[in-house]
Amino acid sequence: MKKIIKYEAKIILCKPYVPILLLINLLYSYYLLSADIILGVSDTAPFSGWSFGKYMGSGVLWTFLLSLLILITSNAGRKNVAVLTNVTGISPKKLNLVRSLIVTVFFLLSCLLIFLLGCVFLQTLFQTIRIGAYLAAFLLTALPCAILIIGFGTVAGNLHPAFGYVLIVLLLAVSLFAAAGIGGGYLLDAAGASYYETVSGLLESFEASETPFVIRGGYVLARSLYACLGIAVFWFGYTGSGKKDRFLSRMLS
Amino acid sequence: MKIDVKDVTMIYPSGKKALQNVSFSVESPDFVGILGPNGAGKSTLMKLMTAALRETRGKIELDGKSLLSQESMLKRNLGYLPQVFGLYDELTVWQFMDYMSALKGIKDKEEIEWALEQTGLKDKRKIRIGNLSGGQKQRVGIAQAIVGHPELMILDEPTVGLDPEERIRFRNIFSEMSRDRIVFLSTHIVDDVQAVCNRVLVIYGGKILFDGAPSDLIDSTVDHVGSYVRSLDEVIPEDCEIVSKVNTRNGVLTRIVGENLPDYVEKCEPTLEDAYLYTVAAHSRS
Amino acid sequence: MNQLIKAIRAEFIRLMKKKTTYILMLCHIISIALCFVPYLQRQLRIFMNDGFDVIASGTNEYIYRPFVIGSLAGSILWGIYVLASADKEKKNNSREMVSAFMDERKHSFTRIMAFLGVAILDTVLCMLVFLPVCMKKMDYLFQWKTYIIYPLILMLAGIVMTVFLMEGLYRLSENTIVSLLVFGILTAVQFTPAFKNSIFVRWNLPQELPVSDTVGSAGILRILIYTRIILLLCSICIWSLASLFIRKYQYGPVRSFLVSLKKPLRLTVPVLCALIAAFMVAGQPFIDHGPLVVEDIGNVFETSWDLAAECSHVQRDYYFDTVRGTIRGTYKLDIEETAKQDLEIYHNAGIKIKHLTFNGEEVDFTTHFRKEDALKTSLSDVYSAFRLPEGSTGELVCEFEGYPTQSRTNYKDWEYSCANRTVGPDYIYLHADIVGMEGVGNAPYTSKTRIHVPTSHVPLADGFEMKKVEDEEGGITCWETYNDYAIIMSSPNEICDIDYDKAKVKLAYNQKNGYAIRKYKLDEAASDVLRYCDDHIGTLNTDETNRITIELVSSELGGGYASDGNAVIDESVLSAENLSDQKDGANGNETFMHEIVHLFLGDLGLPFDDDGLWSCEGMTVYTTYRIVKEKYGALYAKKYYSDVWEEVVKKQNNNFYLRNPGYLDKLPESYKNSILSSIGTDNKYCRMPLMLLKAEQILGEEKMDAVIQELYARRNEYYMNGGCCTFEDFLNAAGLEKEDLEL
Repeated sequence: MKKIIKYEAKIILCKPYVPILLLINLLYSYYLLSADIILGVSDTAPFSGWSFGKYMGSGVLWTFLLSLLILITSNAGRKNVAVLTNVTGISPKKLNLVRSLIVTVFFLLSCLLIFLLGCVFLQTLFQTIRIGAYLAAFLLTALPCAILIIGFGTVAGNLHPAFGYVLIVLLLAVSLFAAAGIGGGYLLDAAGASYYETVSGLLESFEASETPFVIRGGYVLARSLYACLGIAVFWFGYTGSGKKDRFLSRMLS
Repeated sequence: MKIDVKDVTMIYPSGKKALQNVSFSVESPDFVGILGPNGAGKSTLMKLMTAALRETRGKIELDGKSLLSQESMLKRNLGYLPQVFGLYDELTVWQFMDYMSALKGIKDKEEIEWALEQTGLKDKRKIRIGNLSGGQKQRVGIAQAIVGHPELMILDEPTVGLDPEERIRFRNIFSEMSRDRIVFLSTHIVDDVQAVCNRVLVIYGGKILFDGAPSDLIDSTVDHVGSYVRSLDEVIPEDCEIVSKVNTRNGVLTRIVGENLPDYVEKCEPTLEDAYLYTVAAHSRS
Repeated sequence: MNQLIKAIRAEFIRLMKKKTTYILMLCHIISIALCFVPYLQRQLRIFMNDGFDVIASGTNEYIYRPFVIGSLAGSILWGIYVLASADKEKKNNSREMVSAFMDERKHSFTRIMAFLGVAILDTVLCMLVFLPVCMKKMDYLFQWKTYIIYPLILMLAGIVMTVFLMEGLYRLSENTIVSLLVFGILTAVQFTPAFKNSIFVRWNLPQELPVSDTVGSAGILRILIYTRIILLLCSICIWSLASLFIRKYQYGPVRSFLVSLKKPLRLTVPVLCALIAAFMVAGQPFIDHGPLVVEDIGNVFETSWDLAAECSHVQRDYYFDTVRGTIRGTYKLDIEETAKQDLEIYHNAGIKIKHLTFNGEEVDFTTHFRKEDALKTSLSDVYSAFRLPEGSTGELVCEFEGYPTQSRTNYKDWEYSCANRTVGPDYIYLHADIVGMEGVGNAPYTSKTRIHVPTSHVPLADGFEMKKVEDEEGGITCWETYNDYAIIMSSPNEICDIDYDKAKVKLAYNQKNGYAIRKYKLDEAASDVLRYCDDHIGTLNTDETNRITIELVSSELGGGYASDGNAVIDESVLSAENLSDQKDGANGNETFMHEIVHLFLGDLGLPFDDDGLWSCEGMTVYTTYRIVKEKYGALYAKKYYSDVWEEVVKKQNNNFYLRNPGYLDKLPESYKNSILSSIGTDNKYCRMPLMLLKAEQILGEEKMDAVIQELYARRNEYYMNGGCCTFEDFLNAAGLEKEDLEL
């Protein structure tokens, strides 16, 4: 299994566009820090949990979309090889799971890089960071997305790549609308970034004091629902009956 | 190992009937050649035997039990080379073989070495697959099929893109491997079947027209193969099929197969190709 | 040629049969549609205007900006499509098959032509889809010409450039990633502070320019068309050069290029394109080609112009080519006596003197930029110097022609501008003394400036109607003014009288704005403001004829100004978006009223100091609040004015950096300045008016009016002394301390 993981990681991640897109993502995160977060979200400190949460959420969103893109393009590129790998001893579902786990680990490591970038930036500039709040923001934004990637990865291999691209566009649109407060507001946001700006704005006190950093139950519930969605998709994809596999593979052949 | 295909019919969702009431049995060791025109159902049969498809009616049994219930056991012992396949261009030959071996659960590196040696890729192990020629990629495909000495080998047009020397070499390798396993070889190259297979299945229109030894198929065509010289615009006798035409000074030397050959046609020793054409043509007429 | 046309046709049909093509068209339409979503519309507006939420015109909102975004989106979509298609051909070896019967360069050209055909269809489709939306949104201001031209030069041109560029990049590099990277860099560079204002870098995301709803923006169009042609030539040059690197005989790029060079004629296209583009850049007519100098405004007060000649009469005649945007004419002086020195005629750098005669005889002259006086150079003026015998008397005639340019000093890297000199079919705006002589103005003389403009125009000189001389052939009418330093604005104008007893106030506007004027009763609004200000502030400053003209000019001007008897306001206050902009109040004429108040406070009236908090804006906003309160009631005024100010001030007080100035000091300088400047706008427009409201609450309305009247009465004193009204002056007049007004 180690060998399979090693080669799958090489096939999926050792592509020229992966480090380039990751670099662009990091550059964008830096830009976000230096252009937006530095001003502080809803008049809170730039190093507050609110500001960091917004930063983390935005970074997670782009990393999430990048990871989905990697998953889709790697699946699209292996259709012809699948006729060979599908008849080996390893189940295609297990292979899909391995692939989605690889992409998930890549996603989490990238989010960690963004997290560290933010901490270093704020520490350098203000000599103040609030690790507890930052970790909470990190976990709440990144973990549900990680589970979604695992879930999506188990079904992605059986879907036309176009579904994946449509999903990416939909997630982006939903996040934009969430930021605008349209629809369900921050509850809909795939990466949970808009919670921090929206709620801190609502809680903003005009008594010129710091807005306390709070994680509302609704937000935790929304993030949990996303995680559950990921688990549900994973369960559907991984435990699907043989009959379904036969039908899908017939469609592919 | 024994494979029983019992009255299998395969109808695709589009409504196309790929196989109709196909039945045969194969027991190890055996080397089965599958002949048939394009769209006859050869690849469909192969996919059914690799559990990539599920039959619409009938059943396929492996050692007396349903193939589908033993899918994992089948795949552990299967070496499969489809007609159309892809490789990972970014991996080297060795890396790809290592990867496929890992998927197949083959731990012994010697197996990979052996497969590379058999396919003449030993000196190309560090070359990226993307940089290989078409024929070399085909050899990689063969290598991944034979690695681990699987008990069942299903090869769909394995010698496409290979030069004659390589083609002969590989068919000999398959023949040698068939000494203690079942090998299915689907090909358009009748010579390969004649040279190495001890059994031939002729498939046409989803049905098996012949199942037996190549020599039996040839014998059934005796007195139905002949050649004569004709002029360019002369029509061949009715109910006959042209096997070959060669332009000569005196006219066109034409080899034909047919049910009733005219007297002016000189009868010849039939080959497997003649027999195949005769069998298929006869079925078409009926 | 036949084969080529057939190949293009076949390739075009192949593209039209692909699902991907239609998916791309749909994505393109969706990307443009996003520009019409209100939230995104606002965000885009802020993004394209460097952080300012400025509504220039309906044309900007519904045509210009959506198709600029369409250009970017189309460029990305079609660029990736071109690249993916080229890469697929390589990977599936179909290129090998095609190159067996067709030259690779021809094949590349075929692909480009086919893609361009599809791109044209895509553009037409986008235009058709959004036509009803734009027509509805823009209503009476919709113009077919605008709707057809801008999408073509903004969006279609961007896509065409992309197709050439991407095909060229791929042929050069044979690598998708490299091509995408270069494309990404060329796109991203447009967002960087260093290049975002450079019109030659903005290839697939053109700059947002303040196009007019009413007067066609001929100057802007010319700049856009000119620069887009240059960029197109560059992209064609890149492709035609890159096509020489198409791999032949399995050689690498360099060897393939050398093989291509065996037919030197192949270099013709890239060399020609490069040369034409270079000449166009070097010779482009919108910017002067003088030296870049550091502007030193202080000089203007130190320079004195020696009397060069005594003149009895000066006459200028201007003729306009409204299509090419050029001016030609004559400048005649009746010279009484010349001094012993060089005479200099100053003129716009784009204007060339064709003949200079004195008493019918040709006079030699030399033309140069005035380098030693930085200010003059910054006004884009050049000087043509000549000498006449001392004591000469006679008629000097200067014939000139040219395209009026902007100063390169002020607009580096060919940034756009044609704000204060533009010639177009619907709008002519220029200084009467675009050609003049130094020192002439020092002695008494009579003058006449004549302009020959389309008959539909009603020109104004410093807001005053010019005198009609006669109708001429070819739909031209001659008008004249005796003010030879006037700013002339010629357009199909309407002029209406504003009801105001104390002076003759006229409102001049383009006839297309008439609908908005009447719908929102802006003439009544102006009248109300004038009466209110008259009662509560003081009498309006007018010129010696006791008249004033409020002149609405093209939104290209951006802002406004005032001079004797004339207040000029940018027409964007009349855009439907500004008039219906809820944040300025439910009644759309309040922005307009605000501008009228400026006639009293700032502009022509009381001059104000600007210390970042105290400025004419604060008092103007407060006064507008008072007018609105009188007109629509206290509740209305509270809801849309004082409550809004309180909200902004509260938020400002809550600003983290204002509460913790220690952290502000930790920031890099640029961040600090950016934060402080954003605070400045809120200070002027919200904090100051709120402080004035507080003063009113302390003093009472009557006393407050008395304070303002007292300050207003001192305006002439301030002008005489070169001073202005400070916050200190206000506090002293009101008898208050600064602490009394703390919020």
